[in-house]
Amino acid sequence: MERRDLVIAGTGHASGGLYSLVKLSGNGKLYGDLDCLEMQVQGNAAVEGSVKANNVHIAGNGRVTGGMACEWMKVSGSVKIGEHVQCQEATVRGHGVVKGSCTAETIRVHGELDVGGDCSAERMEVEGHFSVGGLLNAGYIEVKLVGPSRATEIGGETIMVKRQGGSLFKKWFFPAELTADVIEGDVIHLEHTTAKTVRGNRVTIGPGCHIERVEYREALECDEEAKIGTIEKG
Amino acid sequence: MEQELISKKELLELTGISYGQLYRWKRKKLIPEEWFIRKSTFTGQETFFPREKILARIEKIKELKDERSLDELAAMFAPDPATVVMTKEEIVKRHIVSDVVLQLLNDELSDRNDVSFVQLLALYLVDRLLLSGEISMEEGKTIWKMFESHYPKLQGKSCELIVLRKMGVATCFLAEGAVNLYIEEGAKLAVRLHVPACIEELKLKLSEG
Repeated sequence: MERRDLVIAGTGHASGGLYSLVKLSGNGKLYGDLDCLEMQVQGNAAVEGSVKANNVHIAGNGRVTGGMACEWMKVSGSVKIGEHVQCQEATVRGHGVVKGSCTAETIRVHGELDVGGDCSAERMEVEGHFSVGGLLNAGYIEVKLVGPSRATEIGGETIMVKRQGGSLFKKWFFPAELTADVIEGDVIHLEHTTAKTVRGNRVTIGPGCHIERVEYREALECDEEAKIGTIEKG
Repeated sequence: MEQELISKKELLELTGISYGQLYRWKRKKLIPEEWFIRKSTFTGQETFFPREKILARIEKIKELKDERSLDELAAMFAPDPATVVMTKEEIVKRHIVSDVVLQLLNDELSDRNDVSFVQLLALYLVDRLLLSGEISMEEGKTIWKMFESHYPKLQGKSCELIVLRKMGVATCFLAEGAVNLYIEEGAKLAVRLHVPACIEELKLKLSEG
């Protein structure tokens, strides 16, 4: 079928379907599943259904009740997705909420990301804070903590968690700390992290950590200010 | 089914792989999600795996990972049928199934020369069972018919092929998922084959060319 463009400038609504370019400037609402090559949002957009696209660019506010499958996604502002997200490269500047699970090659977050289910990526970079309801599984995880973060389980090859300086107000009310049940990886570097269990080959426990149990194989480095329960060399 | 479990820690020690590798393989779907079994222990929640399945899988991955990419391996381990269509000549030439089976089932195969993956899988299963002497020629035909008509309904889900025999009469069926069987005394469980495992073998055979 032929793909045509859909442009809404101002306020309007349309039905989903097969499109080439979908451009929503202002206030747009789409009813039904959307399959397009490119989606551009400036302003407010809501999709009652799922989105399948090559490129998605949201500047402003995006809301999708279904899932999202795309190659490349960039969000400046906020986005809320009701189901799963599958993507090659996702960049979020602002606030991203995924109710389901999130699978991508690369995830970059400047701001906040909330994933209800599991989150898996080859490379994940976060500058800000995040929460993952299930397992965060990534080859390379780099977190620059700015606010409170949380994950049930974190697993991967390299896991780096560091604290970024913030304002005094933020430090008081939203301490930049990561909380997790289990963190497992080959190379682990943690700062300001509270966890029940940390397991890895080379583990570095930095300042501000509260770890109940650390298991390591090759090397362990502990900061003086870290609180660790039991240490076991396996 | 009460299966023997292995803890994650023990698994890594036994196989010599690292946490990173395990998570990477999980990410690439080389290890199915349902093998990750969470249980509470005194150190909190721990992950366990079905012992035999995971050990066999990891051995296989270690053996093949240098020759093939992880994506290729994932396609091989996926339970859904590969999109392969072969001709009868090819099957014979590449010794995927023996000539006996092909001749036996030649009438059943349509006049068309190409064989779909499901048909090939059915051939492979019958061939395997005949060679091991677990079934007779006639039973092979029955299994073939049953498999071809019912397997597509499962749509790639995990299933088992079961053959029961009582007083020399055999009956066969497919059971979806993992089931417990309680069989009457006079009957004998002749065959119990895990189909996804056979698919793996077959895919491996096909890709070896």
